[in-house]
Amino acid sequence: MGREDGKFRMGGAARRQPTSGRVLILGIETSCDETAAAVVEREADGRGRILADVVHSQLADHAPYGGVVPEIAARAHVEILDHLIERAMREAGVGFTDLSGVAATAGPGLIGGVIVGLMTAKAIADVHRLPLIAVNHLEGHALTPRLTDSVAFPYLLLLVSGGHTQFVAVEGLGRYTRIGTTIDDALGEAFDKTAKLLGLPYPGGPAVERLARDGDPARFDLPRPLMRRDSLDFSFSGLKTALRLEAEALQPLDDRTIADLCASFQAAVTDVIRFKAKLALKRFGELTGVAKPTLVTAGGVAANKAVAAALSEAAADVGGRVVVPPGELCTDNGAMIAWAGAERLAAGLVDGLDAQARARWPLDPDAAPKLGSGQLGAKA
Amino acid sequence: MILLAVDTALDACAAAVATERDGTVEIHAVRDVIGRGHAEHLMRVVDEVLAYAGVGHVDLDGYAVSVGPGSFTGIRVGVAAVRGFALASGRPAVSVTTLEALASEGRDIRPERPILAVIDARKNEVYAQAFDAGGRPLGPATVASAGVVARHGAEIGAVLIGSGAPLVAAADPTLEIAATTPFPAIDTHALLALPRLAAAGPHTPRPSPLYVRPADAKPQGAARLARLTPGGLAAEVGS
Repeated sequence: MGREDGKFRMGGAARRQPTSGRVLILGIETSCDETAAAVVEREADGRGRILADVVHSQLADHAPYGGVVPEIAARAHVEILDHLIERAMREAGVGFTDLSGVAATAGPGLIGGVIVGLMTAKAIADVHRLPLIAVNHLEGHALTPRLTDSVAFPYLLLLVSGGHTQFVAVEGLGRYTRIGTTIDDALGEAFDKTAKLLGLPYPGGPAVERLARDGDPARFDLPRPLMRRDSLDFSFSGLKTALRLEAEALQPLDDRTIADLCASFQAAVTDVIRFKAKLALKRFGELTGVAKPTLVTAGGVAANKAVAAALSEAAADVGGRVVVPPGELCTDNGAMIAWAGAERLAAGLVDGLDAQARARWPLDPDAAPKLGSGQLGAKA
Repeated sequence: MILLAVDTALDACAAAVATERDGTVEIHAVRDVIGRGHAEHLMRVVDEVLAYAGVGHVDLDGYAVSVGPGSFTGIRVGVAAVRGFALASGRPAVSVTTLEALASEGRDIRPERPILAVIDARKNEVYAQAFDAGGRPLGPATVASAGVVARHGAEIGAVLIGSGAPLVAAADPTLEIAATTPFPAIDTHALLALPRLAAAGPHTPRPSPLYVRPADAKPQGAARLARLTPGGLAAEVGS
């Protein structure tokens, strides 16, 4: 299936006949500092298989700046992406004419990079008259456990990355309800800012985790923000400030103090995560009537072992289970975009070649914006 | 030879099909002046011009794109699309710069004179490149203040063309302006690209943006807090 007969396809998102057979999708991801392309197959029964999944990390390009520089990221994506797609297609052993559609992240993310991926996808779709699927990056994360573990709807998603910290009830394709989110920094951002303050190398999350192992988590009594029964929201900016005040008071810092600060920071974070996850699972159970809920994690912070352990404890407490996709599918990747594209195409959801790149694109459009959320506002 | 040329570097969102047969060139062009929103609009322009010329991607021998200098995002819209076309079709793609296209138009107006193509780069600067009367570049594309560019223009006795011309002429009123063209025509891009495509092969590198100006970013300063063992811990964690 897949060939379009019409001369040109504009006019935004469209619904067409759902597909009954197998679909083969090229997926493109360029919304932050990873350039990624993948080829994924979805069988008629809903099972998925990754035929190729290649990622080029721009980490080294951004390390001197202590964070991702949008213009540098966009410049790198445009030089790398077509070569990466070529490699993915070769590894998958398929040609463009074998594809059922082309999927690309259309947001949310750094707009310069998103445009590069989306334009490349539009061009391929135009040459071969293939359907375009403009994918919400967050939907890619949200649907990944269906690809990796065939998890059935509904389930609870905790998305924890440098850009997001949110609980989402996933009840079906396109049926996402955000039940909690950060009101300021994302958790990954808090890790990175802590690392930057302490002079640790970028990316800061893994550096803080590694030092925390040798530190004393009880030396500094850092706050556990918003740890209340009536809120599923997070706040990390106060924790960051408290850590800075402790650190400033003890200047100059020795290695022991830095390790203890990392350990105390991580202890505060895991306490909050454990508490909120338990609360969210209970709320999700009430919402859906599911007795033994599944908690799925996604995002770079899900790779933190202390955070993962806290989530397992929370799920065990309420009789649920945790599904953590493999590390390379938790961080940004093309396979999740191809998979979300496959699920959407199978349901008959496609987009026009005038599809817009969006810096901000909430997964749950009905969720109220959170006040005071970050310097640019919460992305989703 | 049939090529599709695309330009999204400045205010235009344009595409042209150039067909060269027995030494004559026929050009079909579609141009919308939109300023912003090239990413949403470009595919409509491409499909319109293909339909207008009565060809499909399958009939093309290759592609050309305006690589700048101009709007960083605009340049990437065109370059990403054309690299995608080239990848999906297996055909080559070649580059044309906005400055050489402007200079080519300047030569039509003042054929005997060196040309200084100048595009307003904001921040009181212009993108600039000088060409001799035969169209050969006298140096690489640069970005500089209007004053510096005006001095260079006066030295070589050049005529100005482009959106930066009033800025440069304000710095040296003796300089002649051929035209204040806001962007070169897509036809000009297509004509410059034809011989390049004829010389291109399967190993021709795909077009890259010509930004001229570096990305606006500064390396991170030293850690904000004083350390007893500077660098030691960071080196260990990083290893």
